[in-house]
Amino acid sequence: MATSSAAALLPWHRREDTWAVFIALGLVLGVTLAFFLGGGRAVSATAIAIPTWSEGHKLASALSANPFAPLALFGLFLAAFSGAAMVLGWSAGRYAAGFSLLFAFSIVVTALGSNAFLKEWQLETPLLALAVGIVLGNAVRLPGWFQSALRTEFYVKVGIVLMGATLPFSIILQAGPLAIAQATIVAVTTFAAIYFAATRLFGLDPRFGATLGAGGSICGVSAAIAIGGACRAEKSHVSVAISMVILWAVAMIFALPYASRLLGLAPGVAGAWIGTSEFADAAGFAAAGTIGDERAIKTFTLMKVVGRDMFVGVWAVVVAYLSVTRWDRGNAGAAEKVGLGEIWRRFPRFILGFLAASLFVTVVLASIDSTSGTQYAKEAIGPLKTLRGWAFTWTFLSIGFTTRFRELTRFGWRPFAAFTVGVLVNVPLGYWLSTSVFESYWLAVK
Amino acid sequence: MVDHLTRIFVDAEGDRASDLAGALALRGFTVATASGRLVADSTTVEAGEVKGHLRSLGYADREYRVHVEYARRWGFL
Repeated sequence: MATSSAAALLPWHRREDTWAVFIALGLVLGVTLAFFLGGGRAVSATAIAIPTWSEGHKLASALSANPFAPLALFGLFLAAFSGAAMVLGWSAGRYAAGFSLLFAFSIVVTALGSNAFLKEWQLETPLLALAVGIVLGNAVRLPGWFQSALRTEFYVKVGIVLMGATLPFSIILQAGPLAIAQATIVAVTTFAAIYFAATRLFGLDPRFGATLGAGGSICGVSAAIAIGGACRAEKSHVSVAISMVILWAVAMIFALPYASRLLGLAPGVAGAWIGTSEFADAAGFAAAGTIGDERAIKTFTLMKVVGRDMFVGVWAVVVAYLSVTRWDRGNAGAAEKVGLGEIWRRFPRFILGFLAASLFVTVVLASIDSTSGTQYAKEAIGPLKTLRGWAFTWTFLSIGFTTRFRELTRFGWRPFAAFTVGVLVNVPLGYWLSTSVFESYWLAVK
Repeated sequence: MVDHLTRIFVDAEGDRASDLAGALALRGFTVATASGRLVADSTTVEAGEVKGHLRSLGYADREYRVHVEYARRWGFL
């Protein structure tokens, strides 16, 4: 077990977060250098974007305009990811083989998701990738070498750091406190609803209630794992909390964008609602991507990454303290000590990469004149946005391929009922805060 | 769905620390010294179980600290 179980205790260079940050920041630096050294065309050619098409020959001509572009994109990420795989201790050969197939799937779903007819039916790339993955993953036994490339967390972290490069630091500073305020209101209320439903209504252990509450209110599976560890919940309780998060997160990928369209929400407001009420980062990016507007992805990121994910360490300390002082029956003498070091130990490091990418691009833009700035936005930030899109497509495919519904059925009705109480609080509260209380702020994010 | 590591930092001193580490070793923990302090790891024994065991042997909660790390297995969102 040692390596996988002790992920948080591994040296920095053996952690997935580290390599996601290195690869994404490397791309940001590389693209910026290429821009200033006159290599912008090579970057634009590598970061292929498939235009909307309605007739087959238009797609064919778009792809044949630069037939080497998909190969360049594939080679770039294959080299970066396989290098990381070697250091992380994954089998690099199997990973490379698996990533090759995943890349082929991503080309197909992106081409289909760019079709005008399917777009009209809201079947854009995120939903198509999920649907293809879910259908094949549940119907066919996937080969082991392919499974080794299905690294949802790794790809979403690369995408989040690249997201930082497309989100000016000034927006994070302006909207960050607001996102933190909205997220805190919802997280505290949802956590309390699930915790009290679990412990008072359904008689579950407080640690189990806290783990379920964290999964439903902070940042999904990552929170269930962090808080489960902080309060020493049983392994089986953490597994049930993960099942709850996955079931509801996948349901919300479809439900929240559908409801947003039905209710006629503006993209920025819809993104904020999804960021408040979706349960996992990767699933949330799929839901926000389905809105089909960059503003939704920006407000989602502000709410989820800045407002919610950043504070998992603080929650861990609070829950660890409650665990040893309140929930620990048979406390022999004075309670165990809880150190504030827990905050840093549980802090998701990829957020530092996200902030660094945003700060770097903002400083670059501030230090060049407006004409060069416009050009930089087009020739550097544009391709980074496209590369981010590919990272998210691999994320969505991986979610689909790894969501095995038959593996998520081993839980009782009580944890399901407690978590559902949280959903019934979280979703309407998130809607009200996003559309009424803080609406003007979310509409202002461009 | 998850793997786990239960890590005990021994805060007790002298013979008391050695005895506590011995009790953990008998329970299946791997004991090592890190930064001059005894540290015991197990990937099979859960935190609640080992804490109950140490209490039954008369060790107070203040004499050690428990860290639990969970890590998602492959494929979970």
